[in-house]
Amino acid sequence: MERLRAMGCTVTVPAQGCCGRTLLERGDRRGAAGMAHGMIGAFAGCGPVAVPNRACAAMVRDQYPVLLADDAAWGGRARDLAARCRDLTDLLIRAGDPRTDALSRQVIATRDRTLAHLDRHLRMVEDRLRDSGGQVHWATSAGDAVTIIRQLCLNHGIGPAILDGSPLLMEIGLEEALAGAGMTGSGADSPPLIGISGAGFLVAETGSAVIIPDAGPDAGLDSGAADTLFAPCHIVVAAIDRVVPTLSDASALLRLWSEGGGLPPRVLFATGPRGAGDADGPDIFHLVLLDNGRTDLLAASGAPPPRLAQRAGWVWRLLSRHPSLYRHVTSFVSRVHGYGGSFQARWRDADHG
Amino acid sequence: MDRRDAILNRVRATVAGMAVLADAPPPPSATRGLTNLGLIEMFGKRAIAAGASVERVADTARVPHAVADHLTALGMAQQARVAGDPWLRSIPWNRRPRLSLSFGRARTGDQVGVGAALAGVAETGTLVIPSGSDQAAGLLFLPPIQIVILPLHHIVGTLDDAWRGMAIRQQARGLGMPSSVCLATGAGAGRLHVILVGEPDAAHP
Repeated sequence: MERLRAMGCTVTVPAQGCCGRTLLERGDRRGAAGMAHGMIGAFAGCGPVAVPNRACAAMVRDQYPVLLADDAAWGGRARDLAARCRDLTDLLIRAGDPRTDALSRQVIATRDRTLAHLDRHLRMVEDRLRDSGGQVHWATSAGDAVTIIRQLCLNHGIGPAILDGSPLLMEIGLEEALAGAGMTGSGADSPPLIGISGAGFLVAETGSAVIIPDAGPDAGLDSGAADTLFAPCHIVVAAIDRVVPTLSDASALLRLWSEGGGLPPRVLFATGPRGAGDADGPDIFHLVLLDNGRTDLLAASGAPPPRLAQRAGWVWRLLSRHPSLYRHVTSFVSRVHGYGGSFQARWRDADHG
Repeated sequence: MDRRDAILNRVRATVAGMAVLADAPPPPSATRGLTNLGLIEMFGKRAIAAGASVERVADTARVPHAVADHLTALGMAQQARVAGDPWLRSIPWNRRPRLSLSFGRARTGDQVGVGAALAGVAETGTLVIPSGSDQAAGLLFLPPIQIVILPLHHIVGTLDDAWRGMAIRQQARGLGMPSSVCLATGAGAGRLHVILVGEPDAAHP
C-alpha cells in the first residue's frame, strides 16, 4: 500500500467480507452469490480494485459474472467489478515502480513472448533433449502421465522409485499410484534406482529441465529430493506452459524465484543422461510433458485482461484438489507474510482502521 | 505419437494471435563497471549473505591446510570425497598426511564432498558446477559438508557471463550442453564452504 501511495495513487480499503470462493467450491451457489453481493456493494464507486490474493482475484474476475449472469439486478454490477479487478502485482508493475520491477517486467515480457509461440518452444525442447540422449513423452491428463511413468518403471525394472515433493507430482497423484502398485522404496536400505522429480521450468535452447529442490522449513533439502537427482534412471515431469527460450531468460527467472530475492540454494539444469566421460548423472533420462488442463487455461486467458487466470488458475485447481497441500501452502504463505489473520485484521493491527 | 500431436495442435490453435508485449530491456547489472577486485569482494559478500562461509588462500599448496582446518573446526573426521578433476588431483594433498581422501563421485553415506567450480557469480554469490569428466555435481547435493575450491580468476559478474564461459569451454571440447549443471547459492542441505585460491591479477586489478 505504501508503494502504491508512493506512486501517487489514492488507496482505500472499504469494509468487506470474503469473496465466497470456498462456498462456491463446496457447491453452495446461493451462499456464494450472497458473498458476491456484499463484495460488489463494498467496492461500488471505486476505481481499479487491487487484489493481493491471486485466487480471490480469479474468483472475482472470472466467477462473479458467471455466478450472477441470470440475476438482472446484480449481473451488470458483477461484470463492472470484474472489469476493474487487478492483480496487485500487475498494478504495481504497471504503475512503474522502478525499484525492483525492471527484472519482473523483463520476466513477464519473456513469459508472454514465449506463450505466444509455445508450440515452437515445446518442439525445440523435444529436439534438443533428444539430441542429448533423453526421451520425451507427452501426457494430456494426470491419468495419462501416471500410466506413462508406471510403464517406464516397469520397462526399466531396475528397482524401487523415489519421488521428490514437487507440486507437479502431487498434482498427478503419482505417489499414491506407485505406492499402490508397490513400486516406491524408502531408499533407507538400498539406494533408489529410479528417481522421479518435477521441473520448475524448461529451457528451450538447450532442452534442459530446471529442477529446484524445495528447501525444507529446517533449512535443509529433503534428502529424498537430492537422491532422486542421482539415481541411475531419472524421470522428470514438466508442465507445458513453463518454458523459457534461453539460459539467460532462465537466470532472470531464477533471480525472482524466491520470495526474499536471491537464487534458490540449489538448482539443477538436467539435460539428458550423462555423457560418455561424465563422473556423475543418470544412465537413462525421461522427460514427461504434462498438459492436464493447461491448454484450456491458456485458451481461457486469451480474452482480455490476459494472464491473470493463467497464473492463478492452475495453482488454484491444484490446491483445491489436495486439502493437505492447501493447508501446507496457506500456512507457508501466512508465515512468509508474517500474519495469521485476515487482511482486515492486519489493517487494524497496523493502526489504520 | 498422436498424444504429442494432439497437445501441440491445441497449443498452436490457442496461442495463435495472442498479443505480445513489447520486450522489456534487462535491468543494468549491479556488477557493471566493477574491477576484478570489486567482483571478488562482491562474490564473497553475496555468498556469505546466502549462508556459505568463504575463505581465501594464496595458492593451491595452502588448500589441504584450509580443508583440514575447516573439518577440525567442525569437529569432523579428516575424511573427504574429492571430485576426480585433474586440477584437484594435482593439489599437494600430502601436506596434511592425516587427511584421508578418496577421489570419485559421491556415494550414499559420504560426509564431506570437495569439488571445484567452473565459475563464481559475483552478482548473486552463486557457484556454477557443470558435469563433465572432471566434475561430480552430486558432491554438492548429497554430503552434509560441502567444500568448493574456486580459483580467483574464475569469478565473473553475472550468471549470463558464466553461461557464456561454459558455452566456450563446451565448444572447445566439441560438446553441447553438459548433462547436468548445478547452481549452488549458499547453504542448501548441508554447510557450504568456499575456498578462493590465488592472488588477484596485478595487471588487471
